[in-house]
This record gives sequence, structure tokens and C-alpha cells, in this order.
Amino acid sequence: MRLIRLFKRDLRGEIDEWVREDLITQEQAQKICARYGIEFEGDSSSFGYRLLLALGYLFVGLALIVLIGGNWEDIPRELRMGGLMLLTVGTQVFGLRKFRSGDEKIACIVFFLGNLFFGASIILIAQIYHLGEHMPDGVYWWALGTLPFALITRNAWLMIQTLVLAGIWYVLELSFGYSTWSAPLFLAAAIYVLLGNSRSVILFLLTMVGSAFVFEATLWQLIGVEHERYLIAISVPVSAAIAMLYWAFSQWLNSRESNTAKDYGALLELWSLRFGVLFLFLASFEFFWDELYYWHRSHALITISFVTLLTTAAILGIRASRPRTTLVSIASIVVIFLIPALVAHPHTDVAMQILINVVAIIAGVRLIIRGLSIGKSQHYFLGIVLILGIGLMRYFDLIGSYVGGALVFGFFAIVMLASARYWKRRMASA
Amino acid sequence: MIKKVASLALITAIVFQFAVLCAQYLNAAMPLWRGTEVRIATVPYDPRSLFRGNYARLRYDISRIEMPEALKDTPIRTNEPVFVQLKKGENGLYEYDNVVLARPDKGHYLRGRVQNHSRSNGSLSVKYGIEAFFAPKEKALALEKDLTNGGVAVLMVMDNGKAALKDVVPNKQTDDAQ
Repeated sequence: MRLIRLFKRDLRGEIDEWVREDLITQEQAQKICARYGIEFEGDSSSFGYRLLLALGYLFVGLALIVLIGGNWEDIPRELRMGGLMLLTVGTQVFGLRKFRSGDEKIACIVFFLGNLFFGASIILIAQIYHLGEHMPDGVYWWALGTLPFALITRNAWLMIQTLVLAGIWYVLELSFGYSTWSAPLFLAAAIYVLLGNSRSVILFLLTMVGSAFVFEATLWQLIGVEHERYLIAISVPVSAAIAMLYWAFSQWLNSRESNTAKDYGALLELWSLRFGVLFLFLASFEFFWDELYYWHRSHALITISFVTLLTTAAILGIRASRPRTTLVSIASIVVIFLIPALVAHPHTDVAMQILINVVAIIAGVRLIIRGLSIGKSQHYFLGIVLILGIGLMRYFDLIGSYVGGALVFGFFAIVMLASARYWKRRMASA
Repeated sequence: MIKKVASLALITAIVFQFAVLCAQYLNAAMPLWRGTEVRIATVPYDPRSLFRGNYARLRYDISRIEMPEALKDTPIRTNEPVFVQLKKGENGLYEYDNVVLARPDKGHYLRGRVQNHSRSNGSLSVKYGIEAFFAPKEKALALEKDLTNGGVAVLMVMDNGKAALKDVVPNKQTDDAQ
């Protein structure tokens, strides 16, 4: 089992104590830390210094951007602009000097600040010359200007800065109704940085979420706006297929030798399961299936994407030696989405709602049992949240009448009690 | 060796950032240096911006135009460049004359980009990059108040139709009439 980031901090504290109490030697402590990708002792204090320095610089940059918002006309425009451009170049040159002297981590923090000054300069020029042109263009150039620093240094924080700016630009473009195709460039750069020595769960998660978002948005751009009224009907099956692919990818990462890959795998598995729980919550309502009734009218490209994503998930899951769980999950997704598409009957929604509630309870029990049997607390708690959440939602939103609601709760009780009996027997035979 | 290559790449990255800023500056300032002055009626409204401080958003008669008969059957995409030809009105201000897709040979015209094309009512929304006038908060609010009945945007327009906003002043004729 891989430890997630939060527990690593605790483990580092524990290891420090073990060394102080002579339970383990320095060398052993370093080996344990290396196994879990934790910075040991002296490194932790310098990490704190760098973190505070980076946060301090972030606020310096934000203060400057807010100050520019004040639009100080008392200072001549050439002085304002020249001063800020000089500050940008000067900061970056200072970062370069730090980099050349071997202090690469500090250099990256200085580049981070220089990138903020670069953005402030773009904003200032737009303000001085009353540029009311397409506003996302400025954010795009800001992101593009910071990209080379992230690529050259392969620093995770510089890449996160670029990715956040690129994300703002992308969402702005979409909100203005423009088609845009260069987002994959930034995602490819993020993958390149992740493949380097930088270990960053934030960058990894941003890249995964960003890839899913760009994939769906690109599909919408390709199929055109005439399908907009079927947003839920088309997006949900694709999102479910992406979550399935991510889960299979997490299993593939878990099967790798690298500790970093295992860490990313643990994180991705947890988030894809969380998405799955969210999906089950949504799908347990009648309105959801009412909308999904239109799924069969969707574009051929959506069906091709759905099939391709699930096929890739199947290949990854089988390669990761989890064929049974992978194929059962994929088969469930296919059956769930095929029923409304094939039956295409307005009364399917209540039947689907009941089916999903049953599936959710079984999935919750499975998560609890798996969490207990392999010692994964996140799975255990996720299972409890799923079962209690479904129970609470069905209490407020009854399926059919009161009698229908009572029958559903009765069925839930049978499933839970049968599971408890199964667990007791299993423990006794162990 | 690797360090040397990385340093050279970083120098290139710094030069690239500087070049982006210079290009943005030149692109913004060029019409002010080499353009011809054109005055056009405008109405400011809703001054605010999260990133860039306070500004007055400017609306023009040429922001939404009727589609001419010649272009009614032409497919026009969002963000497509169009050229809006202007003619001088009786009050000395320039007004809408015509819209074409190719750059005109003569006369005054502005280059804009299509924001929205409504076939149902035959109208075209066009942006020219002159829709925002940045000013300190007090000035922006005063501007909106002073120009309630409309003002005049002083534009500098280059030969290719690219325009820059130089200033926004009160419309004397409207004020005198009142």
C-alpha cells in the first residue's frame, strides 16, 4: 500500500523521533525516507524556508497586480511601463544567476516571481493603451511566456503556475464561445515535467483533471453546438468512461516498480473512486435518467470516444493484473448506458433509478469489505459515505410512494445484514 | 555542459518574455504614432475590471450593425475579420457606412472581428479593440456620469484599419443642445 501525501508528513515526524530515540540509525532513516519519497531532516527545514519564500513572492506579485489596478496616472506611462519591464527582466536575470550558481530551487522561486511580474507587465500595457481586444489573448501570452521556464527547469511549481494560467485562458476562451486547439500543448508540457525528477501530486492531479476537461471540451467543439441541449446525456457517459480509464491507469501505475508511479497510482485510484461515488449519487435520482433518455440521439463521435476509452481501460486493467474487477466494471458501465439507449422508453428512468440504488449499495459494501481486508482506510470510509449518502437521499427523495421507499430501505437492510454475516464467517474461517 | 545548455535556454526564455512585452507595446502604440485621427460617437457604461482596474466600457453604433444585402448569404464565422467603412456625418463625427470582408482600397474604415452573427434578425456584433477606456476609479466614475448622453471617442486608425483609443471627450453638440 502506498502512503498518500498527508500521511507522509506524519511519517517524516515519526522517523525524526525514531532517530532521536535511537530506535533506528540515520542511514536507516534515510533509506525509509527514500522509499516513500520523503525529504529527511535538514531538508525539511529548507523545504519550509522555500515554501514561505514562494508564498511571500506570490503575495508580492499579487500586490503589484492590484497596485496596477489603481491606474496611477500621476506617474508617466513610459516610466510605469519601462519600470515594470525592467523589473521583469531584472528578476529573471537574478533567477538565472542563482541557477548558474547551483542554487536551482531558489532560482525557480525567483523565476516564479519574475513570471508574476511578466503578467503584471502585460496587464499594465493593456491598461495604458486601453486594449479592449480579446481579453483571453493576454492570459494566453502570459502562460506561453512562463512555459519555457517550466520546461527548462522541469520544476513542478513553475509548471503548476503555467498550467493554472493556461486553465484560466482555456476557460475564458470557451466562455466567449471560441474554439481553441492549443491546450494539449500545455498538458504535454506538464507530462514532460512529471516524467522528470519533480514529484508533485498537485501537478499530477491538475494534469489528469485538465486532460479530462480538455478531452470533453474538444469533443463539444468537434460535434458542434447543435447538440448542446443534450449536455448531460452526452457528457455523463464520456465522463464515466474517463473515470474508468483513470481507475485502470491507476492500477497500471500501481503495478510499476517506481515509488513515484505507485504514489500517483494511489492518488488517482482514490479520486477516480470518489468520482464514481459522485456519479452513483447523481444517478440515483430520477431526473438524471430522464435526461439520459436522449443519449441514443448523440453524435457518432461520442460513441466512438466512449468505446475507445473503455477499450483502453480494459487493456490497461488487464496489463495491471486486475482483469476481473476491470472487466466487471466496464461491463456494468456499458450495460447501464446501453439500457436507456436501446430501450429508449420514457418509463425507463424509474427502473434505472432503482437499479442504480441497488448497484450503489453493493458498491458501498464492496468498498467497505475491500477497505477492511487490505487495510485501505480511504476505501472503507468511501464505502460508508456511499451507503449513508444513498440512505439519506432516499429518505428525503422517496422512490415512488412511501411504500416504495420502505421496500427500498428493506432491501438495503437485507444487503447490509447479509454482508455482515458474510464478513463474520470470513473472519471465523481466517 | 548540461548546465550551460540550460542557462542558454533560460536566456532565450527571458528574451522571449521581453520580446512578447515589446511586441504587445508596439502593437498597442503603433496606431497612436502612425494613425489618422477619427472621431466617433460612443456611450460609456458599467466601469469595472477584476484584473486591470477600473475602466469605462464603450459602446458604439458600429458595435452592432445591420447585415448588408450583399453579405446576407455569405457564411460568416465567429472571430472572422471584417472591415467597417465609415463616412463623415453632418456633425463632423464618423458614422457607419458599410461592412465588407475584404480590405477596402480607399476611405476610412475600421478592422474588427465578428463576435456574434444572428441570421434571424440579420445583425452582426463586431469588436474593434477600442471598447475599454481605463482610468483611475474616480475618473472612470466621473466619465460615466459626464457622458450619460454620449461622448466622442478619439481614435487613431492605421491604413490597415487597426484602431487605438486615444481619448474619450464630451460630445459638445449634444451638451450645447441641452
